Amino acid sequence: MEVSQLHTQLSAALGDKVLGREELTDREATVLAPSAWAEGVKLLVGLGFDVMIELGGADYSNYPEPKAAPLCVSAHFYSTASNARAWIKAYLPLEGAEIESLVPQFAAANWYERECYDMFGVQFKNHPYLKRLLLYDEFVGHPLRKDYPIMKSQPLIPMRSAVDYEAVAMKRRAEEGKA
Amino acid sequence: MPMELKQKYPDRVKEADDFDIEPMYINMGPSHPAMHGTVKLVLKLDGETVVGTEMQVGYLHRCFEKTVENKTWNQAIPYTDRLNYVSPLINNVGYALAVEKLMGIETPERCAYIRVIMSELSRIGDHLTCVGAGAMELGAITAFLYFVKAREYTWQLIEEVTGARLTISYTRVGGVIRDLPASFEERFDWIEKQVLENIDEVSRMLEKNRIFVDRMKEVGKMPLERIKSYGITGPFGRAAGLNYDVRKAAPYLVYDRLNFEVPTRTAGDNFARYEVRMEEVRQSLKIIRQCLKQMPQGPIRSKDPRVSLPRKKEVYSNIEGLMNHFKLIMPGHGIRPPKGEVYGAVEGGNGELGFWIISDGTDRPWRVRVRPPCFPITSAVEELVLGEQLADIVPIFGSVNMIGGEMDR
Repeated sequence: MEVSQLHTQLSAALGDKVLGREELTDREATVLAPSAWAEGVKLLVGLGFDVMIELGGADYSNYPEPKAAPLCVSAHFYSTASNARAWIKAYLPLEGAEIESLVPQFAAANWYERECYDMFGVQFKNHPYLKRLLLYDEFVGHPLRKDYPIMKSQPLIPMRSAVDYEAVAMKRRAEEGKA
Repeated sequence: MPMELKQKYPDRVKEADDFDIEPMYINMGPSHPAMHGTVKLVLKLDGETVVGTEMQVGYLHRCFEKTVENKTWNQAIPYTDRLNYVSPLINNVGYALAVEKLMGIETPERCAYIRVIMSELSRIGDHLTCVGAGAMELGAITAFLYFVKAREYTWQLIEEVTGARLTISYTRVGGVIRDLPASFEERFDWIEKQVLENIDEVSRMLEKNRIFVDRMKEVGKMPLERIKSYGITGPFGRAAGLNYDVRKAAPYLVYDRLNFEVPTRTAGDNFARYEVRMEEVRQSLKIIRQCLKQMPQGPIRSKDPRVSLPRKKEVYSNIEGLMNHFKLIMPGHGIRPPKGEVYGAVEGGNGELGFWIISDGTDRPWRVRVRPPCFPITSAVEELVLGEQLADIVPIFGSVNMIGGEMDR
């Protein structure tokens, strides 16, 4: 697979913050250093990638092909002007996975990042409201990580009334306020 | 947009002193007649105006992505039925196409045409349900009944082909499970006439109805900039002028050989979405008509031994056939795509339906990530309803067409 123009442009602009390029079965992805995540996306916006199609995570622990770090955050963008797509990836450690939020650039990032946090435990810095999206607040662990057993059961929680729900939400906000 | 939850009594006392009206909090859902599927919208109201919202999803979370990692590649197909349960065929096709891309398998031409026909039949059902249910919530129950009748015809046709109405599991990696029945074209002729008559009648009924038009036009507007920022595709995006359709932008199957239009509008309100969906039903009928004309005879499954079972005659008479059968059936063998990663997208009922699939070379997927088309649209609801009237949430949410199965997975 030939090195795309996009990858060359990103490498030229970000220097050694571009860690490499992955040749995938049907496309290529540029691997960015987690510290250059938001910067790389800003560059993509400048290059005309105006629609954020998706952001998702994957856990590569024990994957046959070793990666830089096990947790992967992958985002992909579409350019309405040139009908092109751009894939970027960043690899994060399992413990203390943290990356810059893309909410300032794309409104779509809000829920995708919440889902990624929910399923993989990736912390998105400066996210306005990083809260579990599909699971409930008392859920323990991050289910799409490979070390989460499929048959694991969760502790039962008492049934909530509407008022209780509000109390949970307020408690969470209070904790967030402290942090 | 996170909303400020009610601080209890101290504020209330203070506000009362200032003769200030305190906002009212309402839980809309998770089980509400106007909330399709199970979703909860916490609303902060000032009089009738929405001043803050929080959308809470996840009530239909079924651990799709985790479950599929622990099933074989073909066992994932029944799970994909339950993603968008209004148009399950499109999900089946999308998943099968992504896995075939991973393995580098070309399906026979007839199979590609059948997949297009079945996807478009599903799309018709999807749009009819969305518009019909949306109209019903505004009081036009007649429109809903008419559309359900029209949808019933398409579902009957789907049942004749697949043997099921909803949980169809029609595709396999490398093909489809059975051919179209001999009577298909004849039945489709009749159904096309019925559906066209039906939508003409209903559009006359709705578009000249003052109540319907007043509640749809200029309500739930979202400008193109925000649509792009939210990553919204499909009829919702096209109604605001985002001319993007996977079938045109990155044609899959045989869409590049078919002549159809992608309707777009620029208003970006509920009415534009309604118009786009109605027009797409007509285009889908046109696509099926062309497919039936172009479709060749031939096999419906790839002959690739990595994915297709050999004929029974081969299995019982020679060792290669027996080995091939064994390799596909026994646990731990099965379909084994090479190590790799693909992203396959199809145009679902609500927009781009993507499957990001990672394989580690074993008989189970390493990761299957679904990019559900209604996910970004649902995330935009918080912004869409802000500043609108409480009653306007009903038509707005109707035009969003959130499908719980796909949203929560």
